[in-house]
Amino acid sequence: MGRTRRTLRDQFDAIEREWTPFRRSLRRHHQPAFDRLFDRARSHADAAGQQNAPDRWRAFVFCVLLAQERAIAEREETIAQQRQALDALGERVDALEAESPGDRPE
Amino acid sequence: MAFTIDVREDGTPVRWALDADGGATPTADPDYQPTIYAAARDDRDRPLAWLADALADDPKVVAVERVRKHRSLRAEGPSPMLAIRLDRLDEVRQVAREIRQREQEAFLPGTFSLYDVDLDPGFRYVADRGFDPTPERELAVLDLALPEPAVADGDVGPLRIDGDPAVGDGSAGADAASPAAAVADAVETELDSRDPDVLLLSSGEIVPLLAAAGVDLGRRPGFSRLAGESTYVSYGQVGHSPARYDVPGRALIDRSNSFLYGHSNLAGLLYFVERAGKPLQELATDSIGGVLTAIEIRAARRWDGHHVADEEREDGVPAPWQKRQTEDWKSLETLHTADRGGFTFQPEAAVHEDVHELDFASLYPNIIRNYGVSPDTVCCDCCDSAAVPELEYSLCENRDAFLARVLGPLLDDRSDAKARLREAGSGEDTTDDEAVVEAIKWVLVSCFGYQGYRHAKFGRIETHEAINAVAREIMLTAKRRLEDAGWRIVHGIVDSVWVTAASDREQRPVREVADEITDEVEIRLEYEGCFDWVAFCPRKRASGAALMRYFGRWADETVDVPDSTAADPAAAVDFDDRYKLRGIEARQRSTCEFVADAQRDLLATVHRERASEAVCDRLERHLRELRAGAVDPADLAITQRVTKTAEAYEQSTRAKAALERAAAVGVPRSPGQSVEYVVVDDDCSGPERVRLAFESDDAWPAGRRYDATFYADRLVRACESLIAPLGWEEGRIRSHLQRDRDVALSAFGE
Repeated sequence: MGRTRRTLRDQFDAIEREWTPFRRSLRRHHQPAFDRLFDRARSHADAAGQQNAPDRWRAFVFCVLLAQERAIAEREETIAQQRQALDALGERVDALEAESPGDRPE
Repeated sequence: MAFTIDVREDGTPVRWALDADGGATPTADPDYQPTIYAAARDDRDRPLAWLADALADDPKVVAVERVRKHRSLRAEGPSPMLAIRLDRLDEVRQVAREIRQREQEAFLPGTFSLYDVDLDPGFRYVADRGFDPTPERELAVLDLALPEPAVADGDVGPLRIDGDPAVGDGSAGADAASPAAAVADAVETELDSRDPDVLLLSSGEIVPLLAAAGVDLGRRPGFSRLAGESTYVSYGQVGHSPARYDVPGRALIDRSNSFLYGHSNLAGLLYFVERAGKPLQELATDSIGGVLTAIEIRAARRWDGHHVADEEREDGVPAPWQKRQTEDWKSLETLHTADRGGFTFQPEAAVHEDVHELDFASLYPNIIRNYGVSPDTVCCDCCDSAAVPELEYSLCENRDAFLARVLGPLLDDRSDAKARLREAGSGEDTTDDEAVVEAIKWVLVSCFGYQGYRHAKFGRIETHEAINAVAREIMLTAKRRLEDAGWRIVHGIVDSVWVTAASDREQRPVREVADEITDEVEIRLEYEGCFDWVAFCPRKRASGAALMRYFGRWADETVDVPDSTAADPAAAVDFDDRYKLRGIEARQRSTCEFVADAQRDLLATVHRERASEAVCDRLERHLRELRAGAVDPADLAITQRVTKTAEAYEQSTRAKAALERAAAVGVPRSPGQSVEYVVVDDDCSGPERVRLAFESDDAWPAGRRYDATFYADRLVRACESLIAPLGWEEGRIRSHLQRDRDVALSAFGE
């Protein structure tokens, strides 16, 4: 077959193997974060493969950044929704208080 | 006109023409002179003159003439060549090797390019003489099969003729001197009464074995051995090719050595006999790449420099031998861009619901045909089109696109046969059309990979790169169109894409979108069907989803559930029609029947319950059966292709044990062959660890006992594949089982 170059997915796997000493030295409760980094990178390996950057580290860092950007956006949206819900709740509390100012619990 | 060709010992070809009312008539052709061609580097005259001189007194050479032929599909015009006419058909390679040796006396290596050297003799003969090897009447076939242990023992006793024993167990052969003589009589009787044109053999070794018993399988006495057995490596896989034999006047097909017969049938082979113009016996032993090459050799002889002409031409392209064409110079950047495969999305390892699958029909062959990507057109010197995306290679507009001309008829014939299959009524026999569809599919599969194979006669790596680049572009176009129409991409692999409705959007009908994509990319995007759900498996021992391991259940409308079975639709649909499996155990050749069946059963449970606990409970039922010793050992046989000899295995693996066992019981196996074994004690090493499937009871541990623990482990892993997409890994399955075992320990019979 013609293709001899490794796919980007395989190159990410190779980075993960090369960095095993790093992972081994991490405190156990820090290791999941290390693993998540590679999960994040792999989740965009398809697009990075099409970009075909000559430097696999650049591709890796960009993939992680993008995945984190998505995670931030999702979190911001959740926060915004929760803030809205909280505001609505606050308004209801205020309204209830305004309706019965005399019934405040001791 | 010449359905099979024999080569007599004096090198004379004998062609056999089929008689209209059965039988065949031989005609010897002593005047036939095979020809090879030689060209010199840079078309220099001096080397050719020297070579003509050097060959003048070679008794194997009849004549040397000057001719003009195209050196390759890309040649600007014809080059001067020597046509070296030889006396004997069986001396072609010898002469070619001698030319290579003589070359060293006077010139640099590679000064001469040689052509038309390594053609199969029958193919060369019919091509040179213009005979059509397509049979003009139905062929009479005799099917002879001998089980492998009998072949190893040299015992023809268990021979079967058309599936039935040649000699009954009882008195049928009583009057004969020995069982072998009785079998010989039975075979002679069949040969006399039916006069078969084709011998379909389970192994070529039947020829010498029957000869030893006094049977001539040919239409004339005698047989010959064309090649000894050998081991080879192809696509990174070790293969084994058995010895090949030839008998006069009949075409031999060795089932164990015919890829196309194994994946198709006689109709599939005959289709390519006609397309490639290659006699049946030689075509049957060809690899799929070999079949394609035969068609290309025929077409190249008709090449006029720009087009494939209707007739063979004096100046066409002969088949290069030991092709020395190097890869074009390219920058590191281009190499980096070009050296890639198709586009594959990263799926999410999970269960996805209501997923539609869409496939591009024969993507690579159609790219070749519709975009004109071919060795003669890619990176031409005359056009400045930068037509190939990313790579900016040109695609010549002044040439035919040779490969497209070669594949066109195959693509058309395949879609015609598929159309006939669609229209066929339920009672019609469609076996032949199905076989042709399959046979063509396999040859089409080879057309793309073969472009990157450096020994391919008409291949070229830049064609391979260009096809991939176009394929990636097409996949991205499809993605954009589908997303524009409100669909979310679940997964996509090179030519298949899975989509589901994006939850926050309106969708346009998926078939309508597929039609639009078809129009834009000019290759049909077929709607394959809808899955109730499809699960993509996580990788084992690494994070993320595997790309090619998935399973799904087709929806009712896709499998076309008949109304009459509405009460119990699940029972009416065949498992294979209902589920699609890829890469998991039940699809793997090395999985035993018991584990495969259990996995299919668990899959049905996955669908019903969609909960890992329920699947694990069901798993226990299979484990109980296994541990009780109630499984038929035949269902536990593991088929494995071995890649080395027993001695070459450094670890004591099961394959090594099976090889040692095979040698011990007298059926030794070569690398590339398969061995079928049952594990009886996985803690042992050496031949006691396994039993071969065919060994009799007394060779087994009492009661044909097997190693239940070993198979239980396989079963648990097969279960894990199914529920891993639901988030359960092996450890969790085992602890679930353990918990239940604590509750009902006795259930396991331990």
